[in-house]
Amino acid sequence: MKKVYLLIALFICIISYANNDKYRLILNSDPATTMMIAWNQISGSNPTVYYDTVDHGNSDHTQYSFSKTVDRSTTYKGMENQFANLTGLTPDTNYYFIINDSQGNSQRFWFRTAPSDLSRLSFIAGGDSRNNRTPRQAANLLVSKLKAHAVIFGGDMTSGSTDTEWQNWMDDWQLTTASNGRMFPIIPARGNHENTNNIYNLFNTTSNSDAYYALTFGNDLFRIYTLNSEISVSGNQLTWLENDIVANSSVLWKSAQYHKPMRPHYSGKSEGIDRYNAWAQLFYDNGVRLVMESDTHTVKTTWPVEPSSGVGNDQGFIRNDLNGTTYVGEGCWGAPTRAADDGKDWTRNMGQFNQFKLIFVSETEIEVRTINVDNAASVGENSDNDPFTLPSNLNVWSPSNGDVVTILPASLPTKPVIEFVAGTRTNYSNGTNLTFNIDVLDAGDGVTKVDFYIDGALTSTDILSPYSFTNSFADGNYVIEAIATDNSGGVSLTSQIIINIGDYTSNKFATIITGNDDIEERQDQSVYFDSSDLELIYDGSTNGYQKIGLRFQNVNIPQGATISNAYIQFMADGDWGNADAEYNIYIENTNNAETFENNSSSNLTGRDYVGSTINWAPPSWTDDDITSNQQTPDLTSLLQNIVNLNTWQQGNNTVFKIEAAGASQTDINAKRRAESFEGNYAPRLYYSYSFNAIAPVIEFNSNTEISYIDGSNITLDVDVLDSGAGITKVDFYVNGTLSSSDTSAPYSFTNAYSDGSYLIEAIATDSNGVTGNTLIYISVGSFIVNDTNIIIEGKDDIEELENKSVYFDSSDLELIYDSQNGNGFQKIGLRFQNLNIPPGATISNAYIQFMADGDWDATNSGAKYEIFIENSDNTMPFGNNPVANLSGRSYIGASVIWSPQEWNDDDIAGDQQTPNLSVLLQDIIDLNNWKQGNSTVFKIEGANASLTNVNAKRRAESFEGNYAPRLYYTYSYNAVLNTDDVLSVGISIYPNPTKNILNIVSYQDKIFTVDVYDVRGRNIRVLNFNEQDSYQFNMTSLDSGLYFLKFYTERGIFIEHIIKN
Amino acid sequence: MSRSKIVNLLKVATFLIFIGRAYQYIIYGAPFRALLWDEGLLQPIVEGFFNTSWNEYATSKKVDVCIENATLINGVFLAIAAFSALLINQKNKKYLKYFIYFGSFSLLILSALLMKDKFFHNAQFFEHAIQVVTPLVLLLVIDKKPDFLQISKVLKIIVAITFISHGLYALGYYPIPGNFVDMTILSLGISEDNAKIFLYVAGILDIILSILIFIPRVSKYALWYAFMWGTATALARITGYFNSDLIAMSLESSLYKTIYRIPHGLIPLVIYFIDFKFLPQKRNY
Repeated sequence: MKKVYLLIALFICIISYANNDKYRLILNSDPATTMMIAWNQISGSNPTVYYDTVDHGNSDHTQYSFSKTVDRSTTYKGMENQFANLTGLTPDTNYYFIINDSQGNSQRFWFRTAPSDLSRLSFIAGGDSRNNRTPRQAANLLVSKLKAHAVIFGGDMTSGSTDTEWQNWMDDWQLTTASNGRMFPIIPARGNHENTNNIYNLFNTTSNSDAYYALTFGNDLFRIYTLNSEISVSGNQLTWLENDIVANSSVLWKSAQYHKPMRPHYSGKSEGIDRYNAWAQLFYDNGVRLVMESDTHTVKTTWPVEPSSGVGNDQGFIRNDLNGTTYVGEGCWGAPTRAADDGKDWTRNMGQFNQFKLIFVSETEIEVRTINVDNAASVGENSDNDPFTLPSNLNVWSPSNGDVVTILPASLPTKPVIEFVAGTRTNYSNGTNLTFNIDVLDAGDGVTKVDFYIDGALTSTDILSPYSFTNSFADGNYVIEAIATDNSGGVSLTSQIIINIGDYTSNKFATIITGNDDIEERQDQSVYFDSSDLELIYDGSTNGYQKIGLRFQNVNIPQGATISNAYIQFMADGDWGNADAEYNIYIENTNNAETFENNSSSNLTGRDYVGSTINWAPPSWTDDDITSNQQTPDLTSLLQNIVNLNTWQQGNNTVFKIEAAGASQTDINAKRRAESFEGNYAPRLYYSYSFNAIAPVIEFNSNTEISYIDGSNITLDVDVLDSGAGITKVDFYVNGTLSSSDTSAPYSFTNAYSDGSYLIEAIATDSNGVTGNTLIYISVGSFIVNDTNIIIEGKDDIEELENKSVYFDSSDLELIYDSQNGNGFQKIGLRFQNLNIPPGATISNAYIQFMADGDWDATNSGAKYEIFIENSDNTMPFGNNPVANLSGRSYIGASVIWSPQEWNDDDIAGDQQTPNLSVLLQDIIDLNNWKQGNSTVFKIEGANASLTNVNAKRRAESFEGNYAPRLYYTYSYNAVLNTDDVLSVGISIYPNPTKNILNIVSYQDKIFTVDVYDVRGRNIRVLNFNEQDSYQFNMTSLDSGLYFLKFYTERGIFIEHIIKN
Repeated sequence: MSRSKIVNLLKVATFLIFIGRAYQYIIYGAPFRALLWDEGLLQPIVEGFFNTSWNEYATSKKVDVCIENATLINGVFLAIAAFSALLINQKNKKYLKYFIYFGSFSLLILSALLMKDKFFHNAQFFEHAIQVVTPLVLLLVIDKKPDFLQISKVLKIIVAITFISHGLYALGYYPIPGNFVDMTILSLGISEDNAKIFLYVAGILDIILSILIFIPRVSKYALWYAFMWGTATALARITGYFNSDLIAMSLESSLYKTIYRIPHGLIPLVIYFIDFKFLPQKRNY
């Protein structure tokens, strides 16, 4: 009877477990959605994988929702290898599977697919598991405990690639399966102990024996290249690698594994020159930051390195911590070990023991640890959900340079950033001994020098901070450039300033400097940039009667200059004799013309032009001529319009448009053709002008107090920066009324003021009658102000469309949905200039008043808006570009919600007022550099229904319509709260803390210099006072924190500390 | 063509073989571990006879140092053998011949180990025929009356064995080693696919010439081809691995491989001189 039971039990055993073993998971395509399951089918037929995201155990395969038959099978190395590739899986999900065949079910296994986002990843990487089975088994056991996303295996699994060895290897690989059945996929490479087809026939990687391939983990987070050092490295494999690396340049981290190292760390292994020649530079150039090598059976990690044959290289590499490649390795996942006896200058650490690498990859860094595998049996086990903990007793190698090799994102090479000190004057009556100072905004790797050029010629070099340059100039116009160089050889962009000296005339020209600046706008208003000619005007039946656009950059005419002559010079392309050719020439009405784009606002038709035109009927043209026949008439009147704009700055850009006139509009023969930039001659704008820079320049000294507790006796001085032709008097105006005149230097003005805010203007007049002025706002005592600020020009109220382009000229402001022109759910921008609120004021009330345009009633319910204020102490004008629109600006975090009542057409009442915006406005007034008279920007966006329901809206008039929106505000001011701290020795340092500028003023003792020390005691700057009483120290580029100022004064040496925010 | 010239050529050939290999053994070692680290073969001996766990043995620094030292000594003797080859004459032959024997035997062992290390490809063993046997041929010619006809036959046989072995790799009978393809790509500047075609043709030619050198009418041409091709493949070890920015490094790693392969071109030349310059003279007496 017992025998029967035994037999039955045996029978049950046989049918309970299918006859397969040597299971392994392999990754050879997307790790998030696929998994290759492989095994050895001992007996039984039709094996099929049954899988699901739910664990159904292994008693009934039909419970599993999905199944996959075998894709490929190989009789190889004494095994019947089966491969089933699961696809269409969900990322970061557990999948449970069994293998069912004619004899029953295997045990239940499971795996987790890799994530498809930027979640942190864990890898185990090593190689060489031959000829030392004990540590091989130990390493495999550790795999089961560490729960990594995948195992990166660098080849040399067995020694002789015999059947027995492979079967033993596969059996030992079962140790990588955890006790709960979880399996971990392998990414195998071929070693020199694998024959051509071993990897392909046992792991089914790639579609042939080449065994090189790449996988990306996560959302372009980590791409691992598996390369084959046993086949040609400079042939097809290299071509594939070069193409693939470029095609995947957007991946955050790139890494590579292959068997034989470039520079083995064992003297008895020959150098991998062929691999170095093929891959080293490619890796470095393409940001492959981590490379795993094997073969040697030793341990090494390197510092990041860059291939180099230059001075200091060791075996063709030099250390480059910024963006070099880190090489780790070299094998021994269970192998006899070799001594690491061939270190290089760039070797980080070496050792000799059986190990693999534990690698954590996140968005911000890669960490590599070397794990000694010998004590695997006593190491703890990670939970399935946390592969990033180091389990107890894990033997992490702790060499001299630390346990963890950390790889950070590549640093860009340094570059200093400089500019001419803000506010450097451009006009000078006299050019004698003018000094120009440079601010270093970013020192890069430490500025070593600043070179100064005048009109392109190197004139001076300053090697000591602060960087400046002094020169004497004759009357005229000069382009001054500064370029800084740092310790690493990084070179700054050129900082440029154009100066005008005295009274001069100038003849210059601007030329088209890029192909995109001379365009043909076709009849259908599309833009053609690349023509090698400019057809004036008819350009074949496709392009039709077009328009020519010419954008001249760097037009070097100072604002307010008197232009005496201007014309555009062309080169004739062909012979043209038709006498009826006629054109009208326009100039764009802008202070700085933006680039041409192939869209309706940046082509020619979409721009705004000055009303007048110049008519041109050219004489006959002879091919290749560049004569007066190819010149336009005098364009002075057009150009003068632009140069006269207050906002014009010399060096800005201007656009001319040439259209057909007369017969040229209809007669295809009434035309000329000129060369273009892409052809043989880039058109030029020649101009002659005269400019008189002789003018007085005065300013209220920057350390003039602006807040006074007592207004009974206030004296204000002006400094003369330029006396022009000789200052005869300075008039002082208080709130627009002339109050006093001073005819002799020093020019000052004493007055008594009651409590309130005052605009003081000083106007200097020189002996030629030329004037120069300066303004200052002062606040006296304690007072309250109610005032209004109105939108003063059309460009200050805008609609930003859904596509982020800007529409300036609407006669209304749609809050928010605008059906016209595809504006969509837009945003409204309002810029208030000359905001007359002093720093230190307390805003008690502020709102924007609109006028209703149309009736808005219950059908428009749900209208809701969110109002923001731009985080800037002085806003720039709106522009139709990503920096100057609304979306490109940054805003204070707080916002105010507005849910307006119903509107009646033309109402200017409480319903058309925003809620109280004080909280927003106060944040701006409180900014360190807020000055009375600066400008601010409000943005109004839709909220809730106003973003989805086209009817949940209001519409207001705009500047171009019937009512310019205005900002009403009330503030109170108390001078007592706004006086500066004064040190006992009469030195004032303010503001402290500071975000950018630190003012240092001495009221008593002369300050010679101030040494600035950072918190580590390094002297980072020396401020030379050069006999001045004050210094403005620009701390913008410095790190936040504590700084010490060591004052050298005539009274002695003092230390003060300040905080930079 | 005098007898002494032929002897000198053989001396040079032997010298180059031994000195190149000596450099390799001393600097880079030899694949003794292919045997000494074979867990399958030696585990019973290490654990049974020496009573040490395999892991302890395989990771033992002492064992490693022993192997290193033995290789070094082997290399030194190969260097001595090299110079012995240059200096050997009929008088000192009875002493120096033992170094030559040692050198040749070393190379025989090396060939066996290399074969074991590379999947027991027979060609891996036989391709070293020229290197193993040339020193023995040198000993044959240091004699009162060397039989040059016999010597020529022996040399032809070893040339044929060597070239056929290489040819089998080149035409893909054995998997083409990646470095063959790379050397061809980089030396000739052609694509991988063209390199494989080139090697295939070269492999066929290798086998053909191995037959033709035995056929009197055409042996002259076959021998010249073997001389050129053997020299070219020796030089390919330098040109195929060259990095013009790192000349010293390139040479340091490749020069010795070229040196011990030069006889692949020299020996066919020697055969040529024997068959077409020396022996015809003799017959004229």
